[in-house]
Amino acid sequence: MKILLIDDSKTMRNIQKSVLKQLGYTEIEEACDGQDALSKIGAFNPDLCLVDWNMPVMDGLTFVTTFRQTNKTTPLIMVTTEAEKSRVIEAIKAGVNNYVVKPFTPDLLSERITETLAKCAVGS
Amino acid sequence: MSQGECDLDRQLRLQTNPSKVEGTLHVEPLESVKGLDVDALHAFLIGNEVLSQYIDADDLAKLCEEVLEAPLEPHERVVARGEKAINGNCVTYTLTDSIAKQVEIVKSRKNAIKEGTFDPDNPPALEPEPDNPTAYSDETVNHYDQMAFVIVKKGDKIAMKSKRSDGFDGSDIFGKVIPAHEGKSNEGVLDASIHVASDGTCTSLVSGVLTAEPGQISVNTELEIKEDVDFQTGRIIFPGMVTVGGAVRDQFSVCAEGDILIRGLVEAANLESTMNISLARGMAGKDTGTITAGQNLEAGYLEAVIADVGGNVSVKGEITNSKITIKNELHAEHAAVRGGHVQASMGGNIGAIGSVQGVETVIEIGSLPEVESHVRAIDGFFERLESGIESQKSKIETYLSAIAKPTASQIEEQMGMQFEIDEMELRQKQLTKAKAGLLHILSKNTHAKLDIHKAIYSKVVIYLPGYRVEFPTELMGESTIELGQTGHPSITFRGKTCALSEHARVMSDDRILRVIQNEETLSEAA
Repeated sequence: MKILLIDDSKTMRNIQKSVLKQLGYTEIEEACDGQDALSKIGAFNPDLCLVDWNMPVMDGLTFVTTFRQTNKTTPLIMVTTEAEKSRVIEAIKAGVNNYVVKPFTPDLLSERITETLAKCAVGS
Repeated sequence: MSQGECDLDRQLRLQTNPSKVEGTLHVEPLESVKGLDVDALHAFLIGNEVLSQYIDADDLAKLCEEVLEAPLEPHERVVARGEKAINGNCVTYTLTDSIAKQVEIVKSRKNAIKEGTFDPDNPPALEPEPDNPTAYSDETVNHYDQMAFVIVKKGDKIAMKSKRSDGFDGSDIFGKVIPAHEGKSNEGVLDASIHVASDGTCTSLVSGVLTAEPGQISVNTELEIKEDVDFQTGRIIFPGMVTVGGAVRDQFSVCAEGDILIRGLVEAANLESTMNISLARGMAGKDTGTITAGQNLEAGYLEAVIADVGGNVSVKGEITNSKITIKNELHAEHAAVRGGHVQASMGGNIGAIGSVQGVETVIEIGSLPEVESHVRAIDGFFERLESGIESQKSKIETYLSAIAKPTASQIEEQMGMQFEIDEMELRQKQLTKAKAGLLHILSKNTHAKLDIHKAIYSKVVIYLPGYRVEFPTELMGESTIELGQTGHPSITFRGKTCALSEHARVMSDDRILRVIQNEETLSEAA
């Protein structure tokens, strides 16, 4: 399972990486914004992306919209401080499969990842 | 024979060499050569039973020519040649260049010693061994660091064996067979320590000392040196057992992968064995002599020695002014430990500690310094993590109390701080587990109990886990010192058990780690 972490904060990426490693995922790639992620996706070909919303250069929502134009299946989880209901709906409309609001606990992130992967597996 | 012809039977004489492989025809001076020709000479030889095939027609013709030219002179020429027997080849063993060179150097060194031309201050330089070079960068040679033996390793190519052959029979000029000698197989030259491949390569099956003499090539896994280890022998590094009949002199080394037995006195030398070391007399180390034994050490006495022993140490006489580290027990029930520092992880028994004159003597029992240092390092690291966690927690608290509604970046910052705390707590858990394992090792491999048979004199200091015990005055008689069930030092003196503080000054001390384990940590470690 290959997972791409897209967040401008290295600390956040480290937190997510730590949770993923505890879940047994070791093939992890990092990107510092949406643009960086798009440039890495071709070579890395992830099975799951965790995307922050607020990032420089290209924000998470733009990334999701762009990504979904060519890829409809790879699961995307938005991990963000944007907790308002309207924002959640906006993200889901853009194509994210699940939503985690910061601050999150490792258990919550782990739960959402498992849940998303299970749903996508059933859907496919 | 017609009138005027020479009487060849009288004038010719056939002579053979001892093996009768060559026939020489002698011709006496002739007054008349009438009737003398090659055919006549040939007929003479045939008449003398020389086989025709061995008669050399050219030589016969030359002889005839010479006689006809000067008939009044005597002539002789080899005119018949048989076939020499070609003896078979015996098996020979040719040492490889490298081995031959080493053998030659060792021999010349031994000869020089025998002839009295050996100068200990300037001995011939031996070839450095590949894994233990003795040539230094400034091209000087350390003569203490050379060995007068050829040591080979298992698998080393020693020699090449040549093939044996039967040979070919010959024949004398009369057709009698000359038997060839068959080549000898020389089976007894090699012993079971050397394997011969089909191409004749002789390879050592064991590591050991090589004997390469006429009629004997062998490798012995035991090295026996009848005399002293000194300039004559050089230093000893041997892959098996070493026995030294004499002494080991100052600055020389005996290092063996097997047991070491030394019958004479060991001076300020270096002894190393991965197994047992036995010193029938003892060692006077002059503060620089060292012993490293993977297993047990037995000695008559040890004086001013530095020793590190993986097993037990048994000493019959005295241990004086030495620094001895023992992983197992010290057995010195008839010996006295005077001066120096003896550390025995599993305790032991001693005849007497210190001396009437009051020499400072330190005994440590129940310690395992290498493991303890790891435990102490873990404790230090754990404390640093603890203080890091506390500081991070108070930072979060201050941070949160100062913010009414955190921004996105503040939330992420707070998460980062919490993440650091989680990481530190995880490390603490791992350290706790590692420490439990080390404490288990300590509890299994240390025993703080010491039996003293005769006396503990003044100025003796005994370290037990968590305690330093000083004896300001002597304690005569049999005693047992140990950490009791309560974890406090106790003494059984003249049959009565009491707190050690009744007979000595007992102080808390962390030189030896005091291990207090409950069942939970023990089972976790297991």
